[in-house]
Amino acid sequence: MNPEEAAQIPRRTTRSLASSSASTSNNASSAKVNSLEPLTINDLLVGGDPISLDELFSNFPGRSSQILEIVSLLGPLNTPMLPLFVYGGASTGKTSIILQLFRHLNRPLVYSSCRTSYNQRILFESILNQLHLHRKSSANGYSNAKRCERPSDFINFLREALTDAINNLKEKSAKLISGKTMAQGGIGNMIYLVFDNFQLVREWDKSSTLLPFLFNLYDLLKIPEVGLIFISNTSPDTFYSSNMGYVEPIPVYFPDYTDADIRKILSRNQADSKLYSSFLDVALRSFFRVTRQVDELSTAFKPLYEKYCEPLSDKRVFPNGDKDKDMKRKLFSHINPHITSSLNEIFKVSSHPSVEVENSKEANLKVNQRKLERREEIAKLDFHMSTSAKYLLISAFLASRNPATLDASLFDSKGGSHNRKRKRKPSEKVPERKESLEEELLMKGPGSFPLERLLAIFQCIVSVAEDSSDEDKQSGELMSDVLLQLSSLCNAKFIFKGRSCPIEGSVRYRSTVSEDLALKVARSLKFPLSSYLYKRT
Amino acid sequence: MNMDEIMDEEEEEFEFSRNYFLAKEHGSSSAKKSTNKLTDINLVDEQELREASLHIQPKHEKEIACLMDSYKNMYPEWVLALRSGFSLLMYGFGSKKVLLEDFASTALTEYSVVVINGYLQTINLKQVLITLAELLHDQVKAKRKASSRDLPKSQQPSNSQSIEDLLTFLDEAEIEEDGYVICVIIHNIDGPGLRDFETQQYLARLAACTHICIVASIDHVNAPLYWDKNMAHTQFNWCWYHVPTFAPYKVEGMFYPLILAHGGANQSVKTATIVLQSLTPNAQSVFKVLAEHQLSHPEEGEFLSTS
Repeated sequence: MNPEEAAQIPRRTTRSLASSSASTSNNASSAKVNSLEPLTINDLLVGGDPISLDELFSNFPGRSSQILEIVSLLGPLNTPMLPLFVYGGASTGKTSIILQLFRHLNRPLVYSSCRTSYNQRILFESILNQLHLHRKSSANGYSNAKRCERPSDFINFLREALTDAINNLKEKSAKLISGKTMAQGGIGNMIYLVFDNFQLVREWDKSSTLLPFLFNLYDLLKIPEVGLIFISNTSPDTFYSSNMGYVEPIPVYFPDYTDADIRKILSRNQADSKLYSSFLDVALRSFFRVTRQVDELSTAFKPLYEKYCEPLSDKRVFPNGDKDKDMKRKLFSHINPHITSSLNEIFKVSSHPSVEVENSKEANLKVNQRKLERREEIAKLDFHMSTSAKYLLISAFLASRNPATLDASLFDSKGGSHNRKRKRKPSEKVPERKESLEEELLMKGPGSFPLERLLAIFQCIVSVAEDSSDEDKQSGELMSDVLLQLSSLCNAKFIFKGRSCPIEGSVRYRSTVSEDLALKVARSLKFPLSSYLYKRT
Repeated sequence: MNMDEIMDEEEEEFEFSRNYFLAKEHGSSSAKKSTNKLTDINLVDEQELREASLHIQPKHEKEIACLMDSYKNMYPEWVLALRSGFSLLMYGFGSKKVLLEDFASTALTEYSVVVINGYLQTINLKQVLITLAELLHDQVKAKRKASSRDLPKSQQPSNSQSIEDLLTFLDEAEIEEDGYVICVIIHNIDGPGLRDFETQQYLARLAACTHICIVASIDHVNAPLYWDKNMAHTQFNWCWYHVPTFAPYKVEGMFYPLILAHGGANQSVKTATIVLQSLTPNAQSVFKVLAEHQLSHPEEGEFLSTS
């Protein structure tokens, strides 16, 4: 970015907000860049058409107090200022407001971002490049104006460059005063240095020396015609505590946008404001759960809004009156399934697939949406376990839950010998007795079982599963693998182990899993757990 | 495959579980329980039994020798597995002690070898670790002297260091050069002296050390119960080899009493232990109460019946 940055910085306006009107100036200015003329001091201006303060207010709804505060801190032309520290959450408009403000005030600006200048040397050299009006080109071998690594060198170079630039400005303003054109009011004698994304400096290598150095820059330079502005995501006390021995910059806080402001920002430059506001009614509610940042919302809403308007594509007019609510409901039901999938993608940068791919995707999307809706109600398992571990867990749960005498009838394919007798009729017991039985079950806790019983149940369950599935699974689990799995489950506290020596087989295990978890695990395996549970009736 | 064979296969699969369930179901019915007692057998004197066992003619000697030779061909494969970072685990019917020691003396000559006899009743793991650490320390010293480098400040491993310190010493990466590998051969890693969970964890950490590789044998069916997945696949990194040798368990069995022998009073203690271990916990606690009562009232019950 650096070689282009030196050439483009004077032309650069705002970062891209989806509906920012300042983007139009970019198109006008990009034509000029290709001419590659040598830079003049005017190129330190933000450039673009001049805008008035009212335009600034309308461009940034909800930020009028912050704008006024900064304007008052910067003061009228040629007033020295203390360093400013602008901070606020992400996507609150700090950088764009500063840049637009300087466009309005028409004062020269040296902008450097600590994200693109990712270490100390690049930061210093980029600032010096801009001050020396140096453009990297093939003529000078794309080199920087000065090679600067250490802060001590930087101070000296900076002082030279600043005095040169300020003298340059003074000559210019002297000429202006002597000349007749006072229309622009001059650009003044001051140069402002802006450090953007300042919070990243904390993570650099030499941040412990760099941060105090940069904060002290104001004192070290002792040039009243320089103004310093730091822009950061985090508040000043994450950088220093008080009494650091240098002049603390004045903090300016940019609070997060309110809901109304977000709506205003997103609704700018929309063709049909009424339609868009009804769309926002629907979409904002769910998206606010995920993010309130304007840039993320705008990227997410763009395709969603197109989807929303689809049913209306044949009807251009938005009908009023009684048909209003029907229309709204129809649009709402159309957009609803897409919102959830869009919520998941909100942190993804989506590429733009070709039209055919999109058409085929839509056909699949409808089928998936229906499935997704149904499954959403059923809770899903939060963690991942291998299939054999899941079966082992279920067998342990069954072994703990059912009395041992039932095993033969439940699991044995031949039903055991006393099958008929064991089928109990649901007796008509008093409900209180049922409750007390359930309580008893809860209080007694899980039953204990020996190793062999667990393995027997496990073998039965696994073979049942193999029969019901269509795929060819390898029959016969490895015994040692199952035992290892058992130990792992014990270590993970799903199964409790008795004290005595395990390999003699005399130890008894208990399952500690709740019924909900067992049902979840069984559902993920498509295992009909409820048909195996013993119900005490 | 026709239906009959499929049914047979299924029945075979289910055999274990069905037998188990049926056995438990009919547990209460006395029809199938045998009423034979151990005292009905004419027990022999122990000496006679031991002499007779010495005279047992081994069968299939030729075939067994052939089998053992075939294992000798696998030695290079085993060495490759060891060098690749795996640990060897030998299982199979018969005593594998001779096989492992033969392997160690022929194929592992370039490494130092330490043998742990896991079939002993108790094993002092700390002593083992101290021995290993001393061995490694001597090797390091010898190499360092040979290459005339500065001696690092490594202390002589002593009894005062904790197991943690010893393990870190064995695992440290300061010693960069290869070749400092000590092979540890553990006979019967599931032996009675090593059945403690803590001991197995230490062994797993030992196996994970860069300078140690392990060759072990198991004999108990449920031996994998001691390891969980992490230990088995990551730390130990077992490579399983099925090596039935059909050799008699002469050495390993020395510590287990002959159940069928009509021993004197000293034998009855060991046999009683075995019998007690197979009882349910409730019965064990009943006996415990009984024993405590007897110990606290020595004047009662003067004559001891051994039947």
